[in-house]
Amino acid sequence: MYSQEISRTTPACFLFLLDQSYSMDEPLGGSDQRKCDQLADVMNGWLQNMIIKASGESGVKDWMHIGVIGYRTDDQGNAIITSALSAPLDDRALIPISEFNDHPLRIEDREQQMYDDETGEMTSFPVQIPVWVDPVMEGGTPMCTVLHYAYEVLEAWISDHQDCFPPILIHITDGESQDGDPIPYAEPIRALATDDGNVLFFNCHLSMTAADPFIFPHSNEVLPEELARTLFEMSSVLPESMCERAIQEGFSIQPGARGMVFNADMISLLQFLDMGTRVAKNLR
Amino acid sequence: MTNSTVESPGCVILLIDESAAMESPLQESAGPIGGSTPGKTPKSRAESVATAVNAVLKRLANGPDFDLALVGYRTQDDEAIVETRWGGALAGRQFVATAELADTPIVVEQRVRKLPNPAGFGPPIEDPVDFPVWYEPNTGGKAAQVAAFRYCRELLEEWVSSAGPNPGVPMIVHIFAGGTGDGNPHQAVQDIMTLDWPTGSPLVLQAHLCTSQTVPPTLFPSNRYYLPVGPQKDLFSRCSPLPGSLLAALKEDKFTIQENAVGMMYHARMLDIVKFLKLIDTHTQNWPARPVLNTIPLADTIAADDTVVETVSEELSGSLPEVDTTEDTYEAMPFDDHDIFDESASELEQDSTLEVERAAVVVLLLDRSLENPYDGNTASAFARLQDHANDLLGRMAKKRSGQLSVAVVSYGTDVAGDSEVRTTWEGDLAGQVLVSDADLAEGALRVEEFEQQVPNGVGGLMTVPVKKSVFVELEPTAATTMSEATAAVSEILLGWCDNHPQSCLPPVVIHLTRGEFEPGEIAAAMTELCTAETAAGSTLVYHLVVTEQPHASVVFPASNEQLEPGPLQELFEHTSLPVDVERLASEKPQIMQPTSRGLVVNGKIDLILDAIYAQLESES
Repeated sequence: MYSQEISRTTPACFLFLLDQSYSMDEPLGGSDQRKCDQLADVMNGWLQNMIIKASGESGVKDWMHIGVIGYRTDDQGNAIITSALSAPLDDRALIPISEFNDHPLRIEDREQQMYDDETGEMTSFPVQIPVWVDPVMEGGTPMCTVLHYAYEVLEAWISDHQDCFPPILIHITDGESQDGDPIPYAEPIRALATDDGNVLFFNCHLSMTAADPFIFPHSNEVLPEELARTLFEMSSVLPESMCERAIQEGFSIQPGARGMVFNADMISLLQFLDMGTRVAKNLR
Repeated sequence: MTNSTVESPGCVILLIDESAAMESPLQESAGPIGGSTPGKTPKSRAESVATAVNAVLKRLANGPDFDLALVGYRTQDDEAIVETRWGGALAGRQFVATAELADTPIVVEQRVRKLPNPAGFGPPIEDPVDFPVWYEPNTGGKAAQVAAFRYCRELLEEWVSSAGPNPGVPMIVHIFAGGTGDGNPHQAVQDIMTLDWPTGSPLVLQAHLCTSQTVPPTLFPSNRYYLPVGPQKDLFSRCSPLPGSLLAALKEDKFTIQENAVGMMYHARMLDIVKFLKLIDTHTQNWPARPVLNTIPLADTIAADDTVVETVSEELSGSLPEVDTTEDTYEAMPFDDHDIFDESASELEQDSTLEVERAAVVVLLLDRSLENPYDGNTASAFARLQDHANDLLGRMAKKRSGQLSVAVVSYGTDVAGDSEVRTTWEGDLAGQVLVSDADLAEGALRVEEFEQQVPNGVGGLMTVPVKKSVFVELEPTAATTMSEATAAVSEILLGWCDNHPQSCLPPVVIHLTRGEFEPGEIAAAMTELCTAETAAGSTLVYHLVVTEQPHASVVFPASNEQLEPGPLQELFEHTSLPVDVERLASEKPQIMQPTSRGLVVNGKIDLILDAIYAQLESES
């Protein structure tokens, strides 16, 4: 289980669900930066890294299919479930990675602090970064609706890719579900499976609660708030192969650890995503 | 305890692991953020840290002036080696003023830094720069963290005794690679973090270097509950909570940080280490400049309650017109600053037929009381006071001047709970009250020999055999009033003064106490104490306090601000200026000001004794 090689014929599937509700306008606990900005930065950074990893002499190899879905509500409280990407990437739920490479929304100029290991100084370098996802923050948090949508997307993908590594679903939210208890919606998603194993459902909680970030809790007792406990219940138990890998890398993971991150700042969020995609890197 | 306003610069100790663990290369991903240059042999942790440390030193060399120590630790043959790691012109020094750094690097290397391509997005350009090196790592063995932190504490305690008034909060910045090699450093670190100094306890900040490319760093956590069980959780309680100024700076630097965050990094990348070290700049940037002695205004309390200050200035400005009163010579005058204590002295002075006698009397007034005298604590406040008394007596015994007489008066309670005052010596001197210092050496109850670890002068410790004479060996008792004791002292001094009216020094009382008294008790007792006088003035009273409750070390304060309100401040009001305070202030401006009182809390008072002997030895 969870051992299928990822290749162009057996691609991986990454589906992101991004909370776009109004509260994403607020800063992450203990920080001055808006959650939606952090989320967009991380999302764009991850997509860029994945493209670099997939790039070979013959261009970007379509090793993975990626979906980025945003969810929020309109003025009347109706759920809006749309692609968080722009045309021409917004017409399907899952898109081959090469198309991301071909169609960034724009290229932005940024400054990046680099450490000079000869002089111990920090130097600011200009960098150009591609942007696919812009911050959005409006309305409520229709979590159950988006989970149901994700279920349908993944079910369809699995029916065409029964022999592939199971899809990885990554849900990033800051708030409480406003359309019911999401746990019953998470169960059928985790029950979806390819021949190689069940769907892996990761939840990332961006909380206003001023508490230290941590990753992969093994018990919901350590979680500081109710919503985090809900997300814990929704998250997959990390498969043994991933746990072993993480422990080898030096992570402190207890048995029963779940694919969940609480209050992750930029760095642990990136690490979290990197862990989820390790299988792909492993099989280049 | 509310923290006093910072009036002078604090200090910083850079503490660096130099164990063998630092010899392995840093495990950093060579990604776009923070990695080492691809294709190059990765530097060892020690080299990387040295580069970052030298970069900080370069910055500090051009910043505000404060005292900085650079300490490395390792082991050799399982012996801890902890030493300050300054080299070149600074070799062997402990604290170095950052203002000295600019002129004292061991070597200035040529290094190449990378700068953004001016064309915009091209390969970085290479820019050769001077890279001054003050720190060259010397690695090997185990990480002797316990020894290292103990050494830091010694450094701090030594430093604070010579620091300016209300110095900024000292900061220890520790960078390390792995576990400790000499046991659990928890106690050693706590002993530093609980030093209760007027402006706050020293800060301990610790950064562990990453051992894994993928494990995210733990940066400034605020709750040990969320940390993985093991070294991270252990480290948490050994790091100080960050003060508000540092929290604000980190937030500014885009760290996600909580209110209770502590100064801790685990699995830190070099990028993190650079930001960690930047906290030194933040912490020290608002420290005031080093105080310049001459500009310190006279303390209000002294000007108000006492005519001492005025009289001193009169003395200096010309009440002795025949004598050159420049600083250089007035010191040798027979009557310098002591007759100012007593107006009647001037009458005696006028009697020119009387010769000045080089003689002095010192009474050690020893408070035996303890809150709980029965708890078997071998290091109680009384035990330490008694050590101080024996130490002072030992110094007198060594002098053998024959000019100084000494008595020890102790006060406590007897088994029935009644007040008990003892004035006589034990052992070979049994029955005597005042004893010449020339006879003291023979009067010791016994001589203890033991080994003591002392700084070897180049930052390490060495073991030397020490002989210590024990003259006084009393048990602690419950508290009593001191009026009986002060009456006894007064009587001893009056008797001595009758025989030595022309002494060059007023009688001296050194009161050794834990500093716990009933309100008003001190004023009454001190008035009673100060009845005796010589030509040089009336009785001088000094206090050496060893507190039972933690109290900052306060050495010869010029005002009562650093003292806890209550008995200590009351004692301050009844403390004389040290003998020859002007000279001491000019010779030891770090410790003494012209308006300093002869009061020491949790420190050493030897200077007073030295000044008395200096007077005895000076030319008549």
